[in-house]
Amino acid sequence: MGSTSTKIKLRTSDQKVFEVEKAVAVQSQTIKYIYENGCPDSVIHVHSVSGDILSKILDYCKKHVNSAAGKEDISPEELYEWDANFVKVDQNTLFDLILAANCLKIESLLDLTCQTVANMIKGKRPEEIRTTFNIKNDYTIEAEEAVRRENKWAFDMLGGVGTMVIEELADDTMSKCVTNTKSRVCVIAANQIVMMRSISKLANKKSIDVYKQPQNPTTPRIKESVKQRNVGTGFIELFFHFKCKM
Amino acid sequence: MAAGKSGNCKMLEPFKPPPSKRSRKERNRGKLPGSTPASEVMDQEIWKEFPEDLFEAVIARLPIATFFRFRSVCRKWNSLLESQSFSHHCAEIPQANPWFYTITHENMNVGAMYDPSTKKWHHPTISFLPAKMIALPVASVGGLVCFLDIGHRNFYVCNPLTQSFKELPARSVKVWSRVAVGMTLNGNSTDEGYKILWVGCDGEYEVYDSVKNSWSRPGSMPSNIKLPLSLNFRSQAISIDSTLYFMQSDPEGIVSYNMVSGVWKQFIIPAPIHLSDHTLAECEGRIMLVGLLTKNAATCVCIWELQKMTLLWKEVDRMPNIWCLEFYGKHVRMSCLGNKGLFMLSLRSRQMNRLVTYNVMSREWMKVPGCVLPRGRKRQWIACGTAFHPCLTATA
Repeated sequence: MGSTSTKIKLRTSDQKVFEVEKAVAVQSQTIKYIYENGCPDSVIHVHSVSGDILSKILDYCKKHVNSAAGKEDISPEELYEWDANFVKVDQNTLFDLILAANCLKIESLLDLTCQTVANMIKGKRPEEIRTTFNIKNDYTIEAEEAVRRENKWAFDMLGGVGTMVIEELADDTMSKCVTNTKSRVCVIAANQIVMMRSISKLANKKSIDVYKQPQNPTTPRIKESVKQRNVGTGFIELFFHFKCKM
Repeated sequence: MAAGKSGNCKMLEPFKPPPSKRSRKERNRGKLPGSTPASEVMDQEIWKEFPEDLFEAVIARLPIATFFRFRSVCRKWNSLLESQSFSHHCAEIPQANPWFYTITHENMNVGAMYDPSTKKWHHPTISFLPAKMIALPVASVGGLVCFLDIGHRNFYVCNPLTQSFKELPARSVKVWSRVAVGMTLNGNSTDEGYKILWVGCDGEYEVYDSVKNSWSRPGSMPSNIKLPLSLNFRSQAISIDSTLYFMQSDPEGIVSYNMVSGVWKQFIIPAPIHLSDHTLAECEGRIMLVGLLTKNAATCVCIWELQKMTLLWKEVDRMPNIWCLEFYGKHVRMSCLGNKGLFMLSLRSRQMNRLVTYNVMSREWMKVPGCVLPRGRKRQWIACGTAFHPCLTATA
């Protein structure tokens, strides 16, 4: 006689009941603990998880249990792809999945979802992180500068191409760029000449591309005319002295 | 020189090479499940409720350079390096590819670190070394790099990422000649301590224990090992579990020392013919050899693996021919800068310094972008360095 798999009943916050195999349910350390230390026959309440989310989580657990037990013929690469697709959900769902994985103590799912969030935020600037997570900036200006300086090496842009946001440019300086589509803007940043590629609609762009080394053959001209303002010949040069904030 | 108006510029994104030039496989390399474009807008309404205790789990999974950028988010994020719980999170994450710490000849106090997953060079300032001192990285384990000054006198241990460093106490034996150095962990991380061994040609050796913060002389070379030891100093030592392996030139082979049992062993292993500039390396417990094979005018980089049963080297891979052609007819020197699973090789001929990495598991050869110091223009010559596992929480 084959072994009958034990089933566990789970009730969610919105009163939905799920019946799942024990092997799947105990992927959650929380459920495992309750099952082993409480009454195995009654229904386990998972208060903080809704039906939709639990349903998704059980899919995840089932997939992983089956692949580990060899019940499903799936290679590690395919499981990896499956996981990648599993977290391609809207932000609300992702958020709920993280909270549920944390609460239910499903380590691999928590790892997967936290990694997903890490990937989402890794390209952001510190200011954006603060806004997103509503974190208060408790640094003084000097302290913040000191921390940035201390960790400057992580910011280094070698071969220096990046995207800069120009903020607080006065309107009339911006409009000088806009009028001439061939205009190039020359900026002095941290005592280095940084030349920006020509842009036609600077006013509408929040960001423009920056080249650290001026592209020749205009280099000599730019360097020479650093002390001058308008050079003519289709070039309009605006000079800003600013600290390159990263 | 400033105009009437001053503006603020902020760096949005670090340099990204044009995506069309990389194959899809390369673009996806290093991408983890659920990878979304970095510029995705995150809905503040949702994420402002993110629980405090989960931040550490997320931050521990960020790329290393990103972690350092985010230290300016708030004081708490800045102090994570000292947090025990953050340490635990970091320890749980499977180790990524090693980084490489190298010395550039232009400025010894500015290290050049290479991150193979982002293919970027970083230049932290190493502040702990006394000015004008030249110290070379000789060994590393668990995120810590051991430096030995040129006079072979003082040892320093440092985590290149966090600048946590320590100058080791002076050795009890004065050694003036070259020594080979190896480093091992006592447990799984630097929290449980580490040991450093130096051994000289005359068979003298000492072991430093970080827990006791002292050197000791556990014994002497067994008599079956002929002295003087002709160690191959160009090869770095490798460590597998608690055993260190050093390359020997005469007799050709390997000398090993077990840090736990204190036992020295010698293995006679004939070297492949026409071999030069060879170094020991390892990957997942397999002992390997990297070296130049020069036949007539053609030079090629080859990889061998040690067959433990027969104690012979068996060739397992070679550098693609096209790359080898670059060195045809030229006198080439090679140094192996990292020997744990991902090797960085510096190939130098009179006018050229080519850097490549070789990944043992995937058998991939990749070119390394030139190293340019910040505010510099010249590509640096890289000849000396070591691989290390970037670990935010390793403390010297």
